[in-house]
Amino acid sequence: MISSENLIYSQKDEKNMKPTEPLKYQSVMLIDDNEIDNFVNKRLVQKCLGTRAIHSFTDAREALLHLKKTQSFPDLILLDIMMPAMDGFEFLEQFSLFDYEKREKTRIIMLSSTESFKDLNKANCNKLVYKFLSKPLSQSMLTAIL
Amino acid sequence: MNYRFKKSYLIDEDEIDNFINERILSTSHFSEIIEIYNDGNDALRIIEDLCKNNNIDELPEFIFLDLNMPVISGTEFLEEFEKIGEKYEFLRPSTRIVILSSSINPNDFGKVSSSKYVLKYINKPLIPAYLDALVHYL
Repeated sequence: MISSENLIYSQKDEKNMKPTEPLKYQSVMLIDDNEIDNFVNKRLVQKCLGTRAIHSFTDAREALLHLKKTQSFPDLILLDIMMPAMDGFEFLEQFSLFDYEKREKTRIIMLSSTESFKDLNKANCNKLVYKFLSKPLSQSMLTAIL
Repeated sequence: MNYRFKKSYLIDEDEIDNFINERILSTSHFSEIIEIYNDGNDALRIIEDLCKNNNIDELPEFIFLDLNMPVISGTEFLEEFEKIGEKYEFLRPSTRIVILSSSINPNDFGKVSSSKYVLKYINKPLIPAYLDALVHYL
């Protein structure tokens, strides 16, 4: 459990953080059926990438609906593979149907907790996937994509 | 047909793997020049020399690196490479490392994928479809 005290301290730390170079990832989308993972990843993205606009979705279909409505695509999508209604690879299939001009700037990082090399090979074949990372996400993994 | 990239290094101690991967890289028109190193130290020395002399054009665009090697392992190579990259800032945008390993150890995977020099982790054997997906973001 994270105590409320710890949370307050870390929020203070964030305020003290020095402004660095212009943000590489202005907006980030998190897609994971596990809300706790989403919460932790959101904090990590805020801390390591400095992004403020973070949308989290627990259902990949909702994320697709959001993308259909929105004009500006996120710069980065963290996508889980194992999800109940629609899995990561199905999401990628649907994502590839969007106009190329719209989705061009979006980088997709696949997250896997299964350590399955079948998934890794499948992701390596997919042009949409920028990187494949195994959970849990760490600070060094995120700063490596800057 | 034009080659997509000028130069790649293959670093692997296994002659047969090197032979096959070299064929795949050249037949899929991925890289025009393919240099093979059985010992990672040789490659490191050459990269450091090129950096010292500011020979950016001579640097390889891709390094295909095996993890399990006798003299210097892939992770050790990566550590040394990172040291060179800190000294010479032009190394990171010009040279990218692709791990080419048959290891299915998740520790190996986690360790190398947190390096900012590593673009992808590919599980052997190498197939042309991986190479197509590799160049999409460059």
